[in-house]
Amino acid sequence: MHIPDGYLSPSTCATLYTASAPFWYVALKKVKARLHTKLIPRLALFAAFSFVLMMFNVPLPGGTSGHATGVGLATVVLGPWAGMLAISTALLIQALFFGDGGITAFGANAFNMAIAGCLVTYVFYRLLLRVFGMRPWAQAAAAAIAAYIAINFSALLAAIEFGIQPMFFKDAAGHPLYAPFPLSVTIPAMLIGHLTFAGLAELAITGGVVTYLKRTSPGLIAAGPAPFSWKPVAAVLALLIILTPVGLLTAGRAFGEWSAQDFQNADARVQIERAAGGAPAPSDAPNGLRRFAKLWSAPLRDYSPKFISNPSAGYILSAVVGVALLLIVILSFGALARRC
Amino acid sequence: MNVSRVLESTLSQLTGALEQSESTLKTGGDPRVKVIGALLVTVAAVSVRRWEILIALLVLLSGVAISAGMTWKRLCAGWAGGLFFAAVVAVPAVFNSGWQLALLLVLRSEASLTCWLLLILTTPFNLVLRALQALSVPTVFIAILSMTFRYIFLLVQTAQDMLLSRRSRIVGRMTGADHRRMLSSTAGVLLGKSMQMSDDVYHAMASRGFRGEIRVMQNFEMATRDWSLLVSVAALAAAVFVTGR
Amino acid sequence: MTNSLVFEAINLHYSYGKIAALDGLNLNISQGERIAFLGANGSGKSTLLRLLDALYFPSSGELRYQGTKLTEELFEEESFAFAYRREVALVFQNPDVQLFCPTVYEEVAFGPLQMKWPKEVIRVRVAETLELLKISHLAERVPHQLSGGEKKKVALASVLILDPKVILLDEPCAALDPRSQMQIIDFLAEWGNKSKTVVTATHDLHTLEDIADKCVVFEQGKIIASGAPHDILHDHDLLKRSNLMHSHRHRSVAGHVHQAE
Repeated sequence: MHIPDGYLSPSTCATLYTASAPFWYVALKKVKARLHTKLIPRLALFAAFSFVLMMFNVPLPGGTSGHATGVGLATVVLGPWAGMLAISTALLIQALFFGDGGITAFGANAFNMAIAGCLVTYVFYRLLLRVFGMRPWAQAAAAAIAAYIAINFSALLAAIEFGIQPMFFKDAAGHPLYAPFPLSVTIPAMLIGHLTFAGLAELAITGGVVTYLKRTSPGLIAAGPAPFSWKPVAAVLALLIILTPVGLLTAGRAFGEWSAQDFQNADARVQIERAAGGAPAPSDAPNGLRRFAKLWSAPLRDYSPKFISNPSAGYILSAVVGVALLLIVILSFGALARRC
Repeated sequence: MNVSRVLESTLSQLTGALEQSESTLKTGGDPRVKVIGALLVTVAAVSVRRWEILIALLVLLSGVAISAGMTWKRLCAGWAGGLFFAAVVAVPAVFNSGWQLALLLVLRSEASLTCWLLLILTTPFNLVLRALQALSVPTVFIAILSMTFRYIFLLVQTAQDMLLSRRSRIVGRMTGADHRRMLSSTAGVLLGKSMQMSDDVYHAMASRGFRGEIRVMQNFEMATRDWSLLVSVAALAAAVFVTGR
Repeated sequence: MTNSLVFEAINLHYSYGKIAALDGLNLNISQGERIAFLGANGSGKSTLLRLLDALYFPSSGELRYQGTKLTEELFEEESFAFAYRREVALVFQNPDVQLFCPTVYEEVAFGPLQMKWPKEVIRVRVAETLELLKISHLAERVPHQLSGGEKKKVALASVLILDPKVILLDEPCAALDPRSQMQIIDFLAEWGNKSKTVVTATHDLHTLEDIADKCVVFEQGKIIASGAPHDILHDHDLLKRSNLMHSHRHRSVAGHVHQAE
């Protein structure tokens, strides 16, 4: 999954460096605050461990190669912020000494594997701990599953980065300049390998080592549903919000999301027919659809408020509003539930 | 597939590669210039759209490497690293988008690889770190990098010892499940042992006054040679960038 | 002022998690003394050495260096930390832990560099120290590729360059061949002279009388005895109790008492 130099355009690389920077900044500040403790040598040790783990590459069909990254272990022992520094360090040394992953692509690799990887692991780890409760295998299982999810999320991010290259970076004749395969190819290609071999390797190693560490160094791994920090969740949400413009890139509408007007639009009809496996589309919207479509007029129609002209900005704003509304609903439910 | 054999050979490859950088071609020169130079050339190479320019760049870089004392064997071993990815992405691209794109993809990654290989093999790692420190990479990160580098050797040494002693104690064949179990228990034990040692390494450093900054004996002063290197590398990067469009 | 106190340990406690490594320890060390800490592995002697080198701080109780109580806050101040680290030096049991620079030269220069000595001074001192330990020919070698004895000498050089007043040694002869052992012992015996304080943790009874004027015996985090080496060595009951010695029959003289392996 380490992306070498030359497959992503310079602007993609720059964007991902810029996206990684704030996370690195926060992580460094948090680590600096604990300079007098043994956090830094621990961090360095996990970075070294992650490095050694990543050296064992398993070649995968159609999906570059897979390996365990140690993302699960680093997050569970060090926390998400120190963890992402550890994995970033391992990635940098790999890039410098083995050319495994490029230097201009380092921002991308760190974003996918270190930053997103550790944050996603943390969120799911905490979530699963609450689900599994105080059972003896809770931590190992939560860590293993969280790491599995995280690795696949990292693979998805990499696939997206590859997949958007042919869309944006073409020469005058329309030929791709960088990675040439579209999302429809890269996403399955990356995910197949990681949902299977690489993900399972990560799951197995994380579960095995956490079990071992629980036995031998009990204080090391945070036990039980401790106070849930919202910061990493916020970070993950921020991440997802930034990624929402990707939705713009998928041409056309998702299955079943056609509006009443689409039935009269020739292009949309073609799409509907294709999605319906060739069955001819009705010439006009079904009566029921027409009647109910008028019932509710959404404030942020089609995710693009009228006062914002740039579609990406509109998308992001909609995402922010959507998430905020969702959070308000969830928190209100939570407060209500606690009251009862 | 004998898992422990695979492990052992990978581990010795690892130490081999890392140790090489410690004791190889020490060509002098300000490491800051070398790091900036590598960056400029890499960024230029990644922006190139004409494969002929990349071939020229690769030839030039190889020439510099060989004249600095690198063996062809080492160079090719470095290039082999990039070919794996190329096989998976670039080769299918031939059928999809033509051989020129495939060539471009491969050459870009190889050119970048060669740049950094050159840097790493001609500059001791702690000087690279010192250069990064001088170029404003946060000190905490530099300290982490430096310690990680040391711990890698420690880990690999411990792992090799463990595997060796295990190998001499296993009689008869092992099943796949046995292999997997051994693997994750090895990983766990390795981590446990290393944690103790890593604490000691840190104490040893603190005991001699380490407080997070990297200090080296060499003074970084730009000599004429360094300025001319910087200028020529910048010119090279610019040339590559401009002609490559 | 004669024999001022260098270290005072007052009711020291230190725990690793739930395990008490030091359990109410009291000890005074005077300037110029050569002390040996005796005890089996896990008895607390290594932990005490680390506390003396201010790598750990006690969970409770006090440790004073020349009258000053040592606390974590004190060491946050760079000038104090540098002064202390220069005056008190620790040589670790496993030299690999202590050798982390690309060359022997840089290894020896590490301490002074960290403490921001002027580079011309460092150059002179490195040359002197390498000469002192007779390892000048190893200056450009990679430390972790050296032999056990050579590594130990490099480790020693890397602390001696600071010209410390107190030198702490954790099992200095562990894993060394006999010849190297003798070289190290001889060196330490000479280097002492009355102004340096030497504290050695060891379970090697053979060399005790060469390296120490006073012995302190540890067991489970407490001091159970102290005295002159000669007295301790002849207190066989004590030695057996603290697992420093056992008797068994073997082919040479039956009942010959020797140290535990």
